[in-house]
Amino acid sequence: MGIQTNALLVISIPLLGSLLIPLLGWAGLKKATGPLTVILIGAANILTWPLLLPVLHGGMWHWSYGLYRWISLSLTVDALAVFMAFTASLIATLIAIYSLGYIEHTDDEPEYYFIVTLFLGAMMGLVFSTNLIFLYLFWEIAALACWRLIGYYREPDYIWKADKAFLVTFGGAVLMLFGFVLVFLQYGTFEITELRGHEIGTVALVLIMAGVFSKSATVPLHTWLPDAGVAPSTITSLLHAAILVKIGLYGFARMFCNGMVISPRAQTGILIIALASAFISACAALKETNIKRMLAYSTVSQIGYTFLGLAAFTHNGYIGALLYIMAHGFAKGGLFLCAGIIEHGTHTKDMTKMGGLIKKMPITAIAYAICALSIAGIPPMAGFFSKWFVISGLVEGGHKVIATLAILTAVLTLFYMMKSFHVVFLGESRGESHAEGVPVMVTVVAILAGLTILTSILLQLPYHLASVADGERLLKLATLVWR
Amino acid sequence: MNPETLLILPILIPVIFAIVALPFFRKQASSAAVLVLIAVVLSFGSFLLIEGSSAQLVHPWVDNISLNFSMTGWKALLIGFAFVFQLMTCLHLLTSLRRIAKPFLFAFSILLAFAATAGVILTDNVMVLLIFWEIFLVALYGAIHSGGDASEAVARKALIIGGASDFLMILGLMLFFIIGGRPEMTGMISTGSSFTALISFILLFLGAGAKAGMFPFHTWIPDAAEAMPAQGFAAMPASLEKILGISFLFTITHSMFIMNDTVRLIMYLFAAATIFVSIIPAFIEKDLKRVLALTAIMPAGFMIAGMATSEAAGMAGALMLMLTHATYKSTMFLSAANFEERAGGTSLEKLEGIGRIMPYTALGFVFAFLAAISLPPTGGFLAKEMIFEGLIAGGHMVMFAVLWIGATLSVAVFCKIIAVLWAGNAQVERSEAPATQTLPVLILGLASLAGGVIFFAVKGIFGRIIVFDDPYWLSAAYHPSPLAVASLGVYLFGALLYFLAREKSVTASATFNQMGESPVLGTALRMAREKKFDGYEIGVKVLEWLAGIVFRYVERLIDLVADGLIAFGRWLFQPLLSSIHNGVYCNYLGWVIAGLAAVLFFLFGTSHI
Repeated sequence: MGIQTNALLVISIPLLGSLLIPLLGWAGLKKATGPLTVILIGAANILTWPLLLPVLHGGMWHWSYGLYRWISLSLTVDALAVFMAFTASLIATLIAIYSLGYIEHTDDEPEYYFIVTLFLGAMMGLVFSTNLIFLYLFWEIAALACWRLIGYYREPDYIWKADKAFLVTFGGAVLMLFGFVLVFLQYGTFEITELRGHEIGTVALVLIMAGVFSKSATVPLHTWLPDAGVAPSTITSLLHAAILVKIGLYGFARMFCNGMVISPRAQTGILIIALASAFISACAALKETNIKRMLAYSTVSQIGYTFLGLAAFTHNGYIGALLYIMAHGFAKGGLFLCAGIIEHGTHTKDMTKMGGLIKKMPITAIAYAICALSIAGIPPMAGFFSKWFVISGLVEGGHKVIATLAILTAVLTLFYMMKSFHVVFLGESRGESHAEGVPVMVTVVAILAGLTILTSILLQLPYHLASVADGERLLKLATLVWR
Repeated sequence: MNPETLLILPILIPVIFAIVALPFFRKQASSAAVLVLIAVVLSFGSFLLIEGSSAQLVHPWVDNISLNFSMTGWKALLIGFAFVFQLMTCLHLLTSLRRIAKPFLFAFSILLAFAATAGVILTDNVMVLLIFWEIFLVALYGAIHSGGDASEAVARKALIIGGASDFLMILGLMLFFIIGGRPEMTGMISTGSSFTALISFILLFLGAGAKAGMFPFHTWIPDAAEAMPAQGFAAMPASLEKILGISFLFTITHSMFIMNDTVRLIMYLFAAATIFVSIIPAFIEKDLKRVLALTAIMPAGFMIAGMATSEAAGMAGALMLMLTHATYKSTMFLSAANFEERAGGTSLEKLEGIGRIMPYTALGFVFAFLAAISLPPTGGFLAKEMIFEGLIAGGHMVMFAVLWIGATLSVAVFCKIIAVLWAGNAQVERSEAPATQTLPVLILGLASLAGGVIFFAVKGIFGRIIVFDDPYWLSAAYHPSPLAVASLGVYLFGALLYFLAREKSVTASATFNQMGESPVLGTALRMAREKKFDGYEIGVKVLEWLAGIVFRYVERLIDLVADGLIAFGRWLFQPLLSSIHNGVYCNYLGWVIAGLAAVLFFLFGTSHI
């Protein structure tokens, strides 16, 4: 199978395969929808594996299917795209497996699985697209899927929160689309590969960043993400770990680290916003008592960290950010799924009503501790290496003050993560607590915790992939300078 | 097996035992203790096989990080010392592990700590060092927590302080690498060469100092001593952690930077603060483990001062104090564990006269006491003499005076402890601890006593890492000099201070309690006991307050505005949207046709672009 076919299958299997799921539901095969989802998403992940080796050797492929003049379905298979596709589909597969135990007693299983699969399909389409219009198209499919999934339980308040998430991300995306139009008016193309090395205007940048920040839940466009905690835990896990917020990060990496150029002043502005986002949301996480909202604020904070790495535009910063996308994905995915087990067992999200759960849920507790330590940046967990490279990248780029403040935020992260572990799992029980979750759910959180450690032991692989991605980035910039 | 492979066995063996074998003995504390001992013996055995070699293992990992381990004479000395503490602790645990609240967690943590210690000592790569260092920190968290659920808050405190200081150290290292141009801990960069160099030094110094228990990062230590099993404190904060911190400080001051007067002054200020904030509260402390913990903080001040001199004698003295302090403080904590087991607690009042009913344990404690007050021929004596000598040689007389006062006060505090153990009426029946628990105390006690002689024997190793002249060593023997008079003064004034205070007290344990009643010092000490000056507690309150402000007035405000805008938009557009989205089929059809027209216009109407 060629690289091109392979990449197309990675996109189309979940995207088109998702349409089969409602059909199964209508055919009365509700129980088959879950396994089919696992197969579709798992297949997408398995199909990324053969792409890993070629891109690790520096391979890069680009195709363009012209549709109408300057609108074409342009696909690029490079280290960045494969890195994102592999990470997102792996986490999504695990979440889909977990869903088999989590979502089985709800009424709308086919709808749930249909949208989850569509969600991943949109993500896969987005990571391989290098035409801004298609980028926007997949971006919005993800937004629609997200809107439906957040309001999955249909309570009026939940629907309001789903609407809020949609309106913020959609509003941001519309502004981004205007930004794309401005870029088109300036350079006459929507192709990122053709825009490479071109500096874009301030207005266009602000508009595009509004879309990026709204999708990646960066302060001040972040408040929809904690509110999205009303969704099933599997969905919050998907939003935080695998797909939605990572779309913003990927968009930034694709458009600005591997593409268009921004001015140093704009770079400083982005760094300051990212730092403020990391700090403000870390403060919020410290004060929050709802476990899912606390973890959501933590995501906003860690996304800020990742932006710091990307916006440093340095070798270490870029590698750190990519590694963090993976490390945060495993750890935050694990934490949200742990939160799901806890919520199932205790029937509450209020951490002050928990306590002493380590005795009843030892595996969940250990998995939570490992993932929390990774988010806090404690070695040998994967989060440590990512943070090391991000901070190193900031120092390398001469942003020493921002690096120092980022470290203070990391201390804050350590503090609230340890506090949450203490409140939830240690001490005396303060409320209802049942035994450990169902085996499939516990196994998945254990795997994610294991991946958190395994990523650091086998750090060479993601590091090498991230290095190749950075090498391609630098090569492209060097080529431009030469030209 | 080749020496390169053997090199990593001291790291791997404890980890394998902890992860693979130990879980099978979750409910059998005695068997778990045997398993821990076997792991340490095997690990020690593998170390002995390579001890004399200069084996090196380099395995590329990522970027400029390589799994780089080597054995040198200095490393062999450090790791040899570490193994002695580990063996003694394990011997003690054979009968005492089952009395710990969470024995499995303790055994697991201690094995992890042993592996991490070996890793920190054997590695040559800074990143790998940091990793092992953090593993040690996590193991410390577990060991403290094994004291019971109530001790988790202290464990968390230790983890957060340790983690925060490590983040500072990471930033310092990055700045150092930027200045040095390569990721190696060598370079001899002058701290006066640039502001970045100065900041890098300070950050690294704070990180290493925090490991050694330096002010203001010390506050978790007395709390941990009270909360965690004494055996754990003997093995970790009292010995291994201090060794790791001070040896890293030595690397900073000896191989990475050339210090100027500014950083020397900074180090002296931290050293002086460390000495006084620890020794003064020790006078009125009522719990043996807390007294021992406070007196374990004070030597960090001496070691930092010794390093700051940049004199060969001062640096060698600091390193010797690092090793000798670890020896005698471990002895004292293992003794405290024995006392605690018999007396049911470690309050000084409860322990009055316990030395007479536990003579062997108390004898070991007395040996350690002699080293602690630095009587010849103990290692404590040799180390303090050399630090004093370094300070005098460098002309740092104010710091010499500070250290002299600190040493004198320390003698007074230890005299009180010895008096408590041997005077008064015992409140428990006569019975010594099992041999497995007295033997380590006596062995380590004797090692403390003979420390000076041992260090003379390993002089060659010190000579290889620090070039210094024989007179420094010779001065350790008694000879008429102003320094000898000063040292004598330490014992005399310290003892005098104790006897004067003892006369005014009814019981030995109440000695110096008068200090707590004085208007200024007493108030300050009471406030310190209430953690009013505890940097961590203050930091947590400030952090919570700041987080509260940011959360309420920034984050919530943003959310309010966002919700308001969305609600406004709904109010504005809902009537229009409702009229469009009214469920009437022809209406939707109209929209579809309009949409199609728009698409057609887009496709054909813009073809001129």
